[in-house]
Amino acid sequence: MDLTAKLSEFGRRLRLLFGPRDRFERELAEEMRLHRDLRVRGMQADGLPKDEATHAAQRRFGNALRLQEQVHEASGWLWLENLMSDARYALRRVRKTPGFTSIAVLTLALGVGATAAIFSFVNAVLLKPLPYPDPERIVSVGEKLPDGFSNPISTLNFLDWERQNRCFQFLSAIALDKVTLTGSGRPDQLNVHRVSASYFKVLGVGAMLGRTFAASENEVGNDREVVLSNRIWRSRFGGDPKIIGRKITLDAKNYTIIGVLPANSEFDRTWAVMWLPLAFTPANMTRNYHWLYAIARLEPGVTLKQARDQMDTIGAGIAALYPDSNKGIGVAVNSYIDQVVQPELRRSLWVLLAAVGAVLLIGCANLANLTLARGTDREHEIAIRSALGARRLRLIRQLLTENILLGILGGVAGLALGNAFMHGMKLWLPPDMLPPQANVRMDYGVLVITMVIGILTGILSGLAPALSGTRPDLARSLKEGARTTAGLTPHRMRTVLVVAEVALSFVLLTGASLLIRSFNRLASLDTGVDTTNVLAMDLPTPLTEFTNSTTLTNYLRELTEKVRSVPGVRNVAITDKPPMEGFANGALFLIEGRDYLPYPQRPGCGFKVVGPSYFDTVGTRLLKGRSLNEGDVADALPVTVINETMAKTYFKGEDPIGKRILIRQLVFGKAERGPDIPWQVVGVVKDEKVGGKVFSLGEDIPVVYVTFYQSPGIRNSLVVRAAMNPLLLNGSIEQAIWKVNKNQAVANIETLEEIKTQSVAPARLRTVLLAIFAGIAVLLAAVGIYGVVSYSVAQRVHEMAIRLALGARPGGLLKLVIGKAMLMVLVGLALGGGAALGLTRVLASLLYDTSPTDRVTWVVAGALLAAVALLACYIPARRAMRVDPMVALRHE
Amino acid sequence: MPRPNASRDQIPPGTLYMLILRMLSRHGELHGFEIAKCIEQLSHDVLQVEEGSLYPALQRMLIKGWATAQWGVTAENRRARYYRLTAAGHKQLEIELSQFGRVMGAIQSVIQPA
Repeated sequence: MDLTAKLSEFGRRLRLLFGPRDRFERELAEEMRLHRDLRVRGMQADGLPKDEATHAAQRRFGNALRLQEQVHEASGWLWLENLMSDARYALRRVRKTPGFTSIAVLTLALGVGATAAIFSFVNAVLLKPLPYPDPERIVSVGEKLPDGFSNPISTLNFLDWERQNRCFQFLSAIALDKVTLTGSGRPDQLNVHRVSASYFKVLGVGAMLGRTFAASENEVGNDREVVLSNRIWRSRFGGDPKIIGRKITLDAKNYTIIGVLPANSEFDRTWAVMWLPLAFTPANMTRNYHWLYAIARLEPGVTLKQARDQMDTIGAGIAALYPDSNKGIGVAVNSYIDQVVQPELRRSLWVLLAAVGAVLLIGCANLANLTLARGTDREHEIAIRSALGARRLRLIRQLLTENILLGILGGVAGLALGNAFMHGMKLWLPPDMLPPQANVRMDYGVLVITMVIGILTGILSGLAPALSGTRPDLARSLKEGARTTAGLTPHRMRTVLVVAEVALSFVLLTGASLLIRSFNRLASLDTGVDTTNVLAMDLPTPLTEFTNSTTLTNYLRELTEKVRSVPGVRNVAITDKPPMEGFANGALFLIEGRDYLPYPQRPGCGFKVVGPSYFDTVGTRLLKGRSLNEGDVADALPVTVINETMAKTYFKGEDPIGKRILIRQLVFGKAERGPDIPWQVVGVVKDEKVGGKVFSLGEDIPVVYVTFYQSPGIRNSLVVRAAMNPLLLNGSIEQAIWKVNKNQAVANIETLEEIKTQSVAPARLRTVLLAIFAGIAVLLAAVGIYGVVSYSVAQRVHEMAIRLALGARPGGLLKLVIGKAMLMVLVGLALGGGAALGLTRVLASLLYDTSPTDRVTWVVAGALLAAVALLACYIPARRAMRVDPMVALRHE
Repeated sequence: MPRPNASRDQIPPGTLYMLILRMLSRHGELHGFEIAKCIEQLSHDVLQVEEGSLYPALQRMLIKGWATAQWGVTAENRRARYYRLTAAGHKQLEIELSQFGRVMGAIQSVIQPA
């Protein structure tokens, strides 16, 4: 049949659906009447008496009403009409039982909302590919250390890779840098990425305004150009549409703005706010200074494996040519997505999604329980309907329609809640926790999935009640007053549901308890510094202003003394990184007198450049020897203070004082390492936790400290210990600094407390979220237990009355009821424990100093859940004690 | 003479449309009872059209556009709904007839004594 015929047929069906039903029926009745009359006439003609003929025709005709219905059904809209009447009926019931409806919708909305919120994060971070064309062709490239870890790249290695490879369509180096913007208001330190010209080609992203870099801009002299993020273009430059070509001053040099990146893209959320060309100067041309990161786009048709093989060959070739710097160093090529989404975040998100899914399931079980309890009330109604000829499938469909309606309501409410949850979590989210590429929002995918989950949950929670509710023993249900043993099957089903709820919430509770225990250990660990009243700030000192190391060290000394004279300041020190923010530099070292090791094979440590007053300022205790002091200047003996881990790891059973550690010099103003300097150990300090982006706060890392006089560099920060809340001194410290140099940018002013809080923020976030979910789960399970126990008490009032009348003591009855209920809880605990044993193992990598099978945690979680469950049975069980046999039995 | 019920044979499934279509194409315009009557007479009372299948079938034919219905007046001056074939109905009859013929021929050749 062709389309027009189909369409006109559909039109006729529609006319039947919407046409006047009474006229249709009237006409049909008239048609039938004629038919019957003519039939009677025919039979009379055959010789039958009139009344006999009437009867025969009537018999033959059958039920006229049924026939009318059959004709009506022929129009093909029966399903819709049934659906409409089911929906009308469901709506009526939903409106008539506002209590049940609001509880059901609220339960669903909470579960669905929490799921939607977490799912919006999972969707943005884990499911959406990177927002670039052919994202699977983008890879991250780095040096591969002998132990398999990835390391930043030295300039000459990068240039060799760039020249020799045939597997990358584009390869771009990235250097992280900070520049000082002057010329408009207060000097401002800005984070920038210095990138190869091909950077935006690797990503496949163009400028929104102007252009991105051209190939020639990678050369010194042509590199004074800058591409802005959309955010800073709007915030700092007023969103000026004619900005292209404007000159700005960065680190006292003129730069031309050539482009603005797209709005609301990852460039608005990433660390850097500007992109500058990366031009290598002769000073950069070294092989032993590792400072570059790289990304690349694979040539079309080249697989990751082929690229790895090719780069392995290239890396081996370089290592053979330059063994002193490159022996054992390979090339790491990995999917970019694996670098963007770190395994810890990936795992945290999946754990949270599973947890929230479990909460949803528990809510679903509760709703099923509630519906079952209602099903008992409705047994009579269902029995009458089926006695009148309703088929079972039809009844199930009717009951499910109600649940679908509840599911839709719950889904809509859940969307609203989920949207609020999501925005709340985004506000609360520590910065840098999500990759900048992740754009968390309620997109259509999340919307659709949320509604589907809502409706499915509605159906799921109605399925068991509908199946058991439509299988009533007709005769029994219709008999007035049939009850007592009624609903045995639903009761068993309710028990199963509650056992499942207890099991699921136990899994969640143990998971949450483990994270809480781990977080407490992490948050209370000894950081090795006294964080009260200490302020840290960055003081970028660009090479363009300080070309000479003596000028710089004199300047830094002057700054320190100026700030020290600010009233309220107790102590102050220069450092290249504030505590718990990682290192500015790492170093490979050799202890003098031990076996010689070629450079790449040497062990590594943190290399911290500080002012002599650093340990006093941050409160790190000296364990042995002396501290650094003002005498440790450029032309004096190079000395170092090492931390406890360094002493314990590399000077086992020896006194480190007086030993000399060989570390290559950081050449001032050059991306280069000079010859080995023998740093003489003069003291040992207690470990200061390193933290930062690379290390977790809990890790103990060997560190050596030297003075900035003996190893000057351009990355400097200031730590200030105050006698009061240090944030109050903020302004006067800045004024003191600007008295020395009015172009000195002061950036990232934070207290050590804030830094510490941030460094445990991801752990805190996942802990709090999981704890909330576990709390909801336990609460829901308690409600479930409460419901089942009150139901069974209500059912057994009669039995209790007889027991009491026969002399049972109320306390005994209480024990009877609670004992039965707690058996159910224990079964749930046992099942949940088994599941948790397997499932909490996935948490292992997220735990600090806590084993997934930590006994205390398990016992506490189990006891807590059992106590809540006991309370949930006790309240309704008391009712069994209060049964008055006279009242209960008089009802007979 | 009233016929015993046992002689009422079921109309083979699927052929009711064909019979109705054929009646309408032969007589042009018929109401429901006339259709039933014609089928009964032409089959010498072997095929009995049940009201319970006739009217739903007519309704479906109206929907499919094989027939149209028009209220008219019978010889005895009673209102009756008269059915009439459309072009699509004529075409459908041909389809049904050829299909039926093919199936009948096939069945006959199967059951013919060798």
